[in-house]
Amino acid sequence: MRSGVVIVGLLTSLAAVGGARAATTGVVPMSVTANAPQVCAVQQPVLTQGALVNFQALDGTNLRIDRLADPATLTTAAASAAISFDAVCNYPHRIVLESQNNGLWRTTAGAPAPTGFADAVPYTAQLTWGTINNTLRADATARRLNTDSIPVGSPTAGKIVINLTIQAGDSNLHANAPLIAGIYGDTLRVTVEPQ
Amino acid sequence: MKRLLTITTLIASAAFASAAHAQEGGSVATSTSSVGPMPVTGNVPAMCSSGPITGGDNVFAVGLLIDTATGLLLQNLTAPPKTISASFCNSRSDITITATPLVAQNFTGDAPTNFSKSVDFTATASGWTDSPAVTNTAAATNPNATQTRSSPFTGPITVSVSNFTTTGGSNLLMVADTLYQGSVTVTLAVAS
Repeated sequence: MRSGVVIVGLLTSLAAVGGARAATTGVVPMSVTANAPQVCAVQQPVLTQGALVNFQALDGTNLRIDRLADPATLTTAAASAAISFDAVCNYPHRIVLESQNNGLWRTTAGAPAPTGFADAVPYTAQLTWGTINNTLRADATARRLNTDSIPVGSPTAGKIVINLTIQAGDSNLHANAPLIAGIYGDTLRVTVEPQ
Repeated sequence: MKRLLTITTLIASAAFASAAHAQEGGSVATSTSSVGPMPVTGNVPAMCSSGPITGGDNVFAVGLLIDTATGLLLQNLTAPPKTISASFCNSRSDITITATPLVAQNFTGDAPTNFSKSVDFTATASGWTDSPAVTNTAAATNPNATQTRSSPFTGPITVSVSNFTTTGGSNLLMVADTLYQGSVTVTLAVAS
């Protein structure tokens, strides 16, 4: 009988050892991975409803001023428009607003404006994008590239809104100077890009 | 009654004397002696063991999450299923699947307005029980995440991921990140 007790005790010990090796649960961990690349996208511009003064409707990306000069005085007529672009940038980025001519300048080459006449019109472009609010002043003091580059610290999505404003009487000569005849224009460019 | 008891005691004493004499001399023939029966017993504890994942690593590689034209989550996200082989439970068992969402690993802070930094999904473990164990990372509770099998079993378990959705709503955009990571865990356990 004592031998029997010894054997049982031994088996019990072996079972205990076996139990330590084999867990009573089986766990299989797995991971799931993916990536989202940096993306910036800007859609075509649209006019903001009800914000058009002395501008014609948007034609593609071309925004035409209805009448740049007051026909009676030949001074600059006030005009304003708000355009917006649906846009997204899913990482910290930079938004760049660029006026190619730093104002509305005559697009056709010609002789310098005669004394007493202005040949360029300043305007402002107020930019709103997420938490950014910035105004580019295309002051028409010189025909050049005028660029505002603004860092945006976080991913942003929504509308880039640009309010264009031409003040009555503004010119590159002096207030209320008459404008020389011609076609005036500028190219405004909005870019979202990596910082 | 008292006498009878005395005789019995005497016989027993004689028997002991005889046995003692045989041990001392060593040459006295004795009748067959046996010890036992001696019972031999053992036990097999209830246990479960999971096997390796066949045909690859333990990573569900979903890859590109977003439509690069819009920044929104792609609607056709998928990853090849995984097979856990050579698993067994030698008694009644529970299979449980748990999962955590895919979360941008490098983006710090809360997601900005209009953005999300997390993707929910459904994880399924099938083959062990009649009804697969299913969990969804967006759900507050997952009553089907644990399934019970009443009999011992060994066999492959297929684990799959599906139904990827943007945490917070499908209109949210995903923040850029080189690594979104989540997890799936399958557990086999002895059922009570």
